[in-house]
Amino acid sequence: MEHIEQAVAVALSSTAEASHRAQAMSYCEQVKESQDGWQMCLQLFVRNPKSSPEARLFALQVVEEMVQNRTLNASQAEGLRQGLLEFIRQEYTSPEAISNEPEPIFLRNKLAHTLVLLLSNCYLSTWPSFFDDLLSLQTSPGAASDPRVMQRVHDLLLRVWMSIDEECVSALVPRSKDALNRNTLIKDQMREGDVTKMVSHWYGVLEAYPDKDVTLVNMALRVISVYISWIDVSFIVNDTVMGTLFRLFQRPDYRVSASDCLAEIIAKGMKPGDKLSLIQAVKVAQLASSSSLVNEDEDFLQSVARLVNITGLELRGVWDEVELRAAANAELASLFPYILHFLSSKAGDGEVTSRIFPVINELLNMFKKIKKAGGMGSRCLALLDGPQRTFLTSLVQAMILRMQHPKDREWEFPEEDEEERQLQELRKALDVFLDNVAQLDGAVFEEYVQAAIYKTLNALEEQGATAVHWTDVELSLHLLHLTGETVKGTLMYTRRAGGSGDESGSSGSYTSLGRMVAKLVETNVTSAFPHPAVCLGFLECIARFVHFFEGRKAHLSAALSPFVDQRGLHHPNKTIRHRAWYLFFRFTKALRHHLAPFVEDILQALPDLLVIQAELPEASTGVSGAKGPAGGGIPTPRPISDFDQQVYLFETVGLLIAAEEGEEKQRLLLEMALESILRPLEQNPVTTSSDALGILQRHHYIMAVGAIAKGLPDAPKPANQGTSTWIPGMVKATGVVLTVLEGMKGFELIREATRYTVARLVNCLGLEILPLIPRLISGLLTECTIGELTDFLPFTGLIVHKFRPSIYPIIDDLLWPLISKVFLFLDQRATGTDEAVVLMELRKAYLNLIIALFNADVDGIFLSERNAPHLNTILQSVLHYAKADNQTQKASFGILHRMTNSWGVPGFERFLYESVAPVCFQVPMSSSFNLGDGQSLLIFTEIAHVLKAIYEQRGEEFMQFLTSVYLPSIQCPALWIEELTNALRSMDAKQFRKYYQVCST
Amino acid sequence: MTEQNPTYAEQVPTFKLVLVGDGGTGKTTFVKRHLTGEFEKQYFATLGVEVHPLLFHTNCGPIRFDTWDTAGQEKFGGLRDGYYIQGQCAIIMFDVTSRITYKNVPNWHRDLVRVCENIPIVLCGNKVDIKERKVKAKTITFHRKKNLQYYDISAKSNYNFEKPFLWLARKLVAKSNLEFVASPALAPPEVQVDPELMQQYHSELETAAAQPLPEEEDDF
Repeated sequence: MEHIEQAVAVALSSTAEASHRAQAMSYCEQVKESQDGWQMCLQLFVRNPKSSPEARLFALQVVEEMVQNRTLNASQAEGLRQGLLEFIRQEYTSPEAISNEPEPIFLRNKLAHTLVLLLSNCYLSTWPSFFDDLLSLQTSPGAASDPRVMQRVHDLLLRVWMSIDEECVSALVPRSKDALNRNTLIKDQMREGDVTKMVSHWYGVLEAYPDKDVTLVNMALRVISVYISWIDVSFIVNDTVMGTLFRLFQRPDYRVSASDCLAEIIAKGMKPGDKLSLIQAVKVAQLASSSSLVNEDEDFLQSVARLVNITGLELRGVWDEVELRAAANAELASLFPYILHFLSSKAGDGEVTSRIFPVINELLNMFKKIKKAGGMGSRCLALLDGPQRTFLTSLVQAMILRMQHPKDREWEFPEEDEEERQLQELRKALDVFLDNVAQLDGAVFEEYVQAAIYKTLNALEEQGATAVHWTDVELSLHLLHLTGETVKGTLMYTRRAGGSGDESGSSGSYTSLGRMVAKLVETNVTSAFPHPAVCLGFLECIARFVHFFEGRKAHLSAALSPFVDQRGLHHPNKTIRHRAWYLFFRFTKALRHHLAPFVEDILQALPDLLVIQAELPEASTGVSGAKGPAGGGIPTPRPISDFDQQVYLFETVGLLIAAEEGEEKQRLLLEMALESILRPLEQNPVTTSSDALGILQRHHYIMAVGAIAKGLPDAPKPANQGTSTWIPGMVKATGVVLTVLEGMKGFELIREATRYTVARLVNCLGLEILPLIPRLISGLLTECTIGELTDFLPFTGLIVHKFRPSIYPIIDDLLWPLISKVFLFLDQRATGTDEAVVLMELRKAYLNLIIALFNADVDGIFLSERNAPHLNTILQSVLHYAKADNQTQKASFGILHRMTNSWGVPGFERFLYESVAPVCFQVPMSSSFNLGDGQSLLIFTEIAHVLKAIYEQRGEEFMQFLTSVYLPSIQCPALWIEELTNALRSMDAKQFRKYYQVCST
Repeated sequence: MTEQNPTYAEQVPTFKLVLVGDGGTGKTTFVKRHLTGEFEKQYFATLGVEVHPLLFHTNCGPIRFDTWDTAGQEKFGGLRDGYYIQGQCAIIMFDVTSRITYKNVPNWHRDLVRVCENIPIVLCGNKVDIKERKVKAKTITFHRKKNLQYYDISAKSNYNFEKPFLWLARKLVAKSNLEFVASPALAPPEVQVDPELMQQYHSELETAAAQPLPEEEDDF
């Protein structure tokens, strides 16, 4: 036994020598595994003088493992039970025991747990008197004579009750089916009489100890909280126990536990009528009113908020019963003041407020039901009763106030400031609630929200910046933005249809939204308050209400200057600057047809923002695109850099150039914009792998070209072949990009940027890009990774579709090199799940490309002189994927269907008979084919189409083949053959699919 | 490296932190991100029990978490809850790509609080960098029932690495305004998290927090 004690000490030491520790550990293991180790450990645990607490914990661990994992025979169980009870008598109830130090808490808990493990093993069989035995400790001579002994007994008993919950009841703990069944039996047995005794124990503690032992009383309250859900409610909900709970609620030491306990009682499942009576009896509002809810400690406020919330939610359930509705309404009304109180509470970093969100949500749902019942035409407010009406309007006002920043706090960016972040999150929830109110009753929303907005803007206009605080302005901006969010459908700014374009229009023609936006622009809030949060809110609003500016040149001009100067695009703070770049891009995109008069001014303000300066990420991963074998691994995305946001500015430049009037001017502006990007590339197109920054810099230049291209309109359709002013400039840029690509095609970053840019150039250059496609594809694919290839295949499909039929000779040349590249990767074996996913993606992309070629009517390339020698390889791959995996089957059969329809070439029927038809029968019959899977329906549809298509192509010859060759070869009964071929002849594809599906099951 | 000086180390308030959770949830990876801790850890090669002294600098001075990582012996062997004795705070970790590891959280919690009552505990969902997330924000409710703090983390990308320690430090020294003044040296990220995805997870968590708790039976 000394050995065990020593071993445990060494094993738990953080300073012992490693080898020494290892020895100690393995000794402990041996004890655990040996047959009688547990008996030695039981001795160690109970012996006097006591061993170290650590060793005794270990000892109980060994005993527990024995109880849980091995089968106790009757005498062992009896020995264990006697041993533990004897120890408890010694330790807890003998008159001498009180002179011992109390056991450490973890040993008390562990002992309670060991007892409960025994309970769950023996209570239903050999130890039915478990509860009597334990409860009788209270009447032991020691306990009777010494109150301190009694306290220790209560402490142990309460820990056992708690442990029973964890081990046998709590729904939080995952359990096996066997354990759940056993637990149900245990609970049933306990309800037979033991629960009654336990309850009187709890009640005894609640009555006897409030002035003597805070811990015991709180433990008893927690015990009630967890037992109430499954014991008879009348044990607790009676005048005696409830009276005690109410009294404890008034005492600072107990109020949190008492409040939690009441919440659990109220949440207990029962019939709505009983629930209502219970709530009427508890009188939560009265309880809440009895304690000051201001300046209280956070835990208590949270607990009461939770109690109010649960009561409200339960009442909401009662409310659904029409005959109980009036009473439920009255109870709910009594909670309204507390809901509003907690909504406004700033305690606990918003935690108190968020506790009552669920009930607010439910009440708004309830109002929605009331509105629905009253007919959609009516105002919701008019349908509510008096208290509900007052509540709804107070709720809106309280939510608006709760959204405001505290005036006495320094503001910081949410990413740097916890409180700001919490406010933003609170706002998100409140935004949703206010939006709900707007849908319930638009007039209520407008009345209070607009009042708040105008109060600030009017004061600012009439009395100047000193009359308002920046937090008022920021709140107004948030509310205005929110107003836009509540409009479902198009935002209207004037009462006239169309909503815009009245330059001279008096403000009388504005909608209330239009009037507010106009007022916002006219008030010029960012001049009065260049506060970062105000600037940001202003820009968000301008971008949100962008269509307001259509045809309103004066307002547009007034909005542009704060947008472009140091309050927006040039803001000294990076976060705001970046956001402004994005918002300005959206703004420009929406208003591009109205910006012509401003283009030159705006472009003149931008050059300093368009300087490209690559920044290497701190950890230099993912920069050298050349490293690693092609096809390996998943690419690592880079963290957000300045350039990621600059891309929006470059696209904006493209949009602005296109917005300019006059071709010569457009050409000139584009030349200027491209100049600073292309010059460095032309001078120095290539760099080496040691120059990580240079590689990244070139990546950025190439992407900038693509971003500008994205802003330019699409090339004119070939039908009305006129060339656009920007085409020469962009063709030249493409050439420069190609030179860089060809010099640096080993770098993934360069390939990535080129892919991005080419995708954009395809639209803006149109057919002009076609001659460059072979060079581009060869540059992109020679050293590409599997992921790049998977991305590239759908892009190829798009190009083919866009430029068909002109692209035919090009794609005819490219087809086999592309497909052999695909096969090179697909030949690899996946060594892990990640790789398997990547390979599957490539397979799908490959099959989809083939489908895309059929869709573009260029499938002739498969049969062309150049590619015909490879046709069989391609056909075999499609057949293979038709059999392989349900993720590729649908596409594969789709391809077989298209081939059957399109390729009536001589000799192809052999392939149909020898390969395609058999696979249509093999797949549904294979054991791995899951008929219950939703995918299988789609696959059946494709298979039905393939079989029908072969029949339509070959007619009776195919029937002959099935009847006399194929189906007999797979031992298909003659009757079935007849039925199947008839079905194939007479049904359409859909009917046949159903038939075939039924006979496959 | 000043932390190596023993006299200095003695003055630093030090707390025993117990790190638990199913095997494979990334406990060891997580704790090894802290480079000074990794450098000074006491390593018991044969058993894999490691105590990592993780030092953080706060506006209230330095604070040290002696983090007990019972790597690799979650299920069998070792002294199990013996390690929890005198634990002053804890992190329970699960893997958001594996539902079973979340299901087992209540077991870890129960075993933990049996030995260490009333200690601050953080629940961490690791591996949020992986796109195929299985344990969604709205299913993570355990912490709300037991008043734990919850964080999404990604050990491999250092995402939210400091958050659990900051929260524990605030609880342990009872100062809600405590801040870390310098970042600890962390191993460079092996993967990058997608900031938009993280933002999305974050708002999902917030939305979930505003929802009523589901009925107990529906939880698992």
